Amino acid sequence: MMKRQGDRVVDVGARSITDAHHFAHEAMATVFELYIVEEDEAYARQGAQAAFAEVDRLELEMSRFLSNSDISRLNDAEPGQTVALGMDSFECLCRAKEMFGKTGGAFDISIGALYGCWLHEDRTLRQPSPKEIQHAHALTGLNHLELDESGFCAEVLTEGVQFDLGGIGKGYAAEKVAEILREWSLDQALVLAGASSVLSVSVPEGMSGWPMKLRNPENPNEVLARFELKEGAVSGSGRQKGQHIIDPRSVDVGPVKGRLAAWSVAPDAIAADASSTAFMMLSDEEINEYCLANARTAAIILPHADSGEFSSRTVRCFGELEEIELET
Amino acid sequence: MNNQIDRRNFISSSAAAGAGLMIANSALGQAGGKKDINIALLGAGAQGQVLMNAILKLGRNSGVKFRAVCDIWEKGNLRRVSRTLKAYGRLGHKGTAYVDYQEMLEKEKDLDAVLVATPDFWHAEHTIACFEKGLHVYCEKEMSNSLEAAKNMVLAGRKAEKLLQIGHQRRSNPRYIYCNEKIIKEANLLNRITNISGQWHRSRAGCVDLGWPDGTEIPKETLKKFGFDDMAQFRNWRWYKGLGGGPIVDLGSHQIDVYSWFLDNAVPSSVMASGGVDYWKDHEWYDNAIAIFEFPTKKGLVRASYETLTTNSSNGYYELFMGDEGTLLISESAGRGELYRESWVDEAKWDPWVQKGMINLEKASAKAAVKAGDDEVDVRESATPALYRMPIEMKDPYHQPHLVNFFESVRGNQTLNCPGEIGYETAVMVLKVNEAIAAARKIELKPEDFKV
Repeated sequence: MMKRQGDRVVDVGARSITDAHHFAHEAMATVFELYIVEEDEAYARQGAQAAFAEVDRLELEMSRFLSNSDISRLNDAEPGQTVALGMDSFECLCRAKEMFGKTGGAFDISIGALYGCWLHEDRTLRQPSPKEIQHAHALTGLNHLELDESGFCAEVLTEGVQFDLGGIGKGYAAEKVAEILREWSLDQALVLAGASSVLSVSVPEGMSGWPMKLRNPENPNEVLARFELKEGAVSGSGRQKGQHIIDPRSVDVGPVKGRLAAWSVAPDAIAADASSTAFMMLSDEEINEYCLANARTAAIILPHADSGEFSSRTVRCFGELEEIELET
Repeated sequence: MNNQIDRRNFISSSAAAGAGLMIANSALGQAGGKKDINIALLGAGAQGQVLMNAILKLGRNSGVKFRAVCDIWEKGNLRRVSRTLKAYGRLGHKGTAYVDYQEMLEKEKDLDAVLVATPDFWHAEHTIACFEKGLHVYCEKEMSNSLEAAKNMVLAGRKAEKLLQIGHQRRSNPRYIYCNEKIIKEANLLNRITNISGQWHRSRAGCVDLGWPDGTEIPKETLKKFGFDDMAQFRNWRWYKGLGGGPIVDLGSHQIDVYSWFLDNAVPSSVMASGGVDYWKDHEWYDNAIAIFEFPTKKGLVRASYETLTTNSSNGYYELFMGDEGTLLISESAGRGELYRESWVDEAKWDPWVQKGMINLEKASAKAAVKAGDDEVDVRESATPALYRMPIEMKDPYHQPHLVNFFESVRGNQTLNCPGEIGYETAVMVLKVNEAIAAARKIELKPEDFKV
């Protein structure tokens, strides 16, 4: 544990996550949690407070549920209308577009129209007409979004395309939280943006990594894998029983079988968030290619087993992930 | 003077009296024009950053350009804001950084207006210095922590023939304007307003003292020069006497301003209040305050209560206007707005407004317990009043419409929605709450107490 003595910092050695102070804050329809190793608890609390204030600010900028957020203004804009954005929304949209490209369109923040087409409001399956499918397809894809770096502004090229940063916003917020914690010299910290996105700011002295475990979503008692997160982020996607997945790359086939769960380890929480979503539907070969093409990236996949056999034996790993322990 | 005078009359009468709103506009010689307005941000804390971001989101063609920013926290606010403005340099903004406001006003020769978002006790000095340089001012509320200083701000603006907009941003919020002009005035759906209540409740977790990153401290001599004992006081100035006014001023001011506005800018004839430093040990200002105002209006007396807490966030923040025929709940919080018809009022009375699209019926009231032609009482859950909603959303970033109103007034295309005279009335209302708590008695107020 680091001890603050005036301006001097003394290493007294941390041993486990229980040595860290824990702070929690509700935002973005989830709970943000921080584990911070720091001798002065009051100081850590104030740093956490500054970090949570940043999350609240980002939610006002990026939530599609707020009528005056940047994303709502973009969703309400007429084609050809330029929407001036805040730096954060602009950066987040740029990253979303980058991840759309890197995942071959599997991660898509404009997928709402397709879900609306294939699912009822209660998320049960519906059978759309070919015309409806065609219409939803025409409103999907980030080729409908033009981002202008020279003016921090965006333009929607096609009327009716709707964007939702839900799949990447929490990862973006986790990165901004890490920035603030670094400013506060509180970098021996772990950021949880809900249980599904976890970012290591840095590993505390005396610890070899932040301990992570991955569970089977259909049988939470079953731990599939354990590993230590040293740097970067890990993000998980999964589906509840009966939940459907739409692959934006193959609109006309409707819901796909996809995976039962997918985890992504990546250099930052934005890439982790977006790629774990994509891993739910990318093929094994595509995931492997993705992990090879992107440094410090790994995937852990729990395939959908037709036989109904969901056990760790079916877990597959891709990319470089040191010291992952599969619970066989 | 009749204190129920409406705002438009008020503004034009104060202008005609030489206060100079219209005169100032024509003096610019650019009525109707889209000339660039060069601005500086004086005070770059959380609120200053909100204003800055709202302006940056006006985009490339707004004609409003930042030139400079001033804040005494060099390694905190100043660095953050000047970095953002530098990034927006591609849109023509500039963020030359100053610690000393006098140096900024001296060196920045091409400014037209300044946004003042410093701690309350600095507002008057900063605003008056800007007027003396011939600049228009958008000043955050509270205008000042002293009524005398607030009065001097208005007088200095009149003398300089420059505009002073006070940052009660709800006055430019389309949802609030709609409620006032359409629901209350045009349709008169509440009929006679008899009571108002409102609150802003925050959780304990949301009210913990602000800290600062190690190594970013403001030098002691700078803190002292600018009126702060230490870094903790600088970061939490709102809690200190002589610097801020506590939650009743920080939050209550916005909402009590709306009470007055929706009552045709009526001012209260009395205030009584209770409050104290009951929970937070190191604070000087009251961590909770509960106030009751009496507003005489043309239609009769309106009794209005207001409450702000720092320990429990139950029900958040809103203002509730109660008339003998209906109730309006409005909040700046996005999407929060409800309108209820009292159950004795015939549905047919509100129907025409639904037909016109002025309000939407969301949930009809339960039918009468005894139906026509029936001789038995239908016993069931208690009847709920009919719920209506306003078909209008706030689609612009918070504060942006109020800032635009200021810039368009500078250009001569609009008049201010919250000139200093109105800001002064609100300052009287909320500063008198603190006075009533300290005195532990009802304070009587005269219409002239609200005049500059």
